[in-house]
Amino acid sequence: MDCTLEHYLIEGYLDGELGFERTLEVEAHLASCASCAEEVQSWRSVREALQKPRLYYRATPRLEKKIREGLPQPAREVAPWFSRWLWAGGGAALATAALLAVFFVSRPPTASSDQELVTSHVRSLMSNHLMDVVSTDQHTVKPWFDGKIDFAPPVRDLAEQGYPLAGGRLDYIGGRTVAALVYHRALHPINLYVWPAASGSEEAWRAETIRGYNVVSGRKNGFEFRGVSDLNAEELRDFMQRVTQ
Amino acid sequence: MTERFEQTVLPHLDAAYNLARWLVRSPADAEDVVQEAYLRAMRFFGGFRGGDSRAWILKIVRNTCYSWARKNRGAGSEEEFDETAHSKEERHDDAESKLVEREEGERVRRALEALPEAFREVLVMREIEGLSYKEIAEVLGVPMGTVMSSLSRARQKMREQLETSVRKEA
Repeated sequence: MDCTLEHYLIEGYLDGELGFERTLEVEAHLASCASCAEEVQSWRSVREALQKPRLYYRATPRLEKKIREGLPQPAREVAPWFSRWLWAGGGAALATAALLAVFFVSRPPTASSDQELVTSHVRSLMSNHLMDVVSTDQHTVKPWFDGKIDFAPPVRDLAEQGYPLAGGRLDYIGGRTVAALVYHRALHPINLYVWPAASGSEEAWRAETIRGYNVVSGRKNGFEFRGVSDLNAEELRDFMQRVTQ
Repeated sequence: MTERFEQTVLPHLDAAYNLARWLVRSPADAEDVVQEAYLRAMRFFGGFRGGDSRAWILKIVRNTCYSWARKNRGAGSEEEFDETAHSKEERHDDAESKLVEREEGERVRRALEALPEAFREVLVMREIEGLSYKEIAEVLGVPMGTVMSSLSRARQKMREQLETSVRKEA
């Protein structure tokens, strides 16, 4: 055996945990080392078997129901941010009320639907329901929405800029059906939500982080755009700018 | 609070159940464990400071699995665990159809089920759940280097297990 490669590099390569340079290094090694190449190949076939859907045990609806029933039932008419205020409020009721008024006014109207966006994003990843139409071709994805929603979302392929289109689906955000377009940046999926804007004025991009996901929002060309991803905020903003050009 | 919990932690229910199902190896016990884990999670949720909610809930599920196992197996070691008692259901299926047993998938499932817990859990998290090293490290509460060496040994064990099963069949 004249293999000199550190073994952990093979594992890291298999797990997609190596940086760009290291990946190239391992690939060059694999081309010349039969035993490492064989190891990679054999694990990939084991992995393929492990990733068959029948080996992923899904929770039954009954379990979900039991868990939901076990949750404390909040008073539904009280908005959650309000009840959180009440909890945190403790003593000074007057001060709280004054602050509350300020809080209410300054609170962006879309905050709760941004939460919904992130929930939708997480669900789309969890349930293998990322896409209803799977295609890298914008001329396939765009017509797919015809007749399913009452607007035609702008669909652009950005493969050359490093954000290939992967497909689309319908989703339901803030009480309305929206178009969700799926793009990738390397291993990071991006959900781009699009729906017609109520107002014609443009709104500059703003970024926020919700439960560890980046959300970039803006209004352009008569559409509301929301991008959600675990991609870093700079790249996500770059993506949003390109996709709406 | 409840709403935020529903939005943050409930979407990971499949991941939670899958990990529990692989660790305790029985559907009914896995349901009990996950239900218990979600109750615990609800209690601790006030302390959750954001970040990776999947790793957070999986950590609680894993701890619940381990306390469940300690309670149900006594302080005994891994070897005392009676595997046949826990895979009866699948064996019954196989009696009906010998063909199923020959499937590659079934062989891999058995091999993974037969691995010691410490190896089984890292393989389930990495290969089936698709967690990164960083996330696995968070769930296990160990440094990333430890995750890498556990994974490496788990893969070695898994290969051996698969080879043994091939030899048995031959």
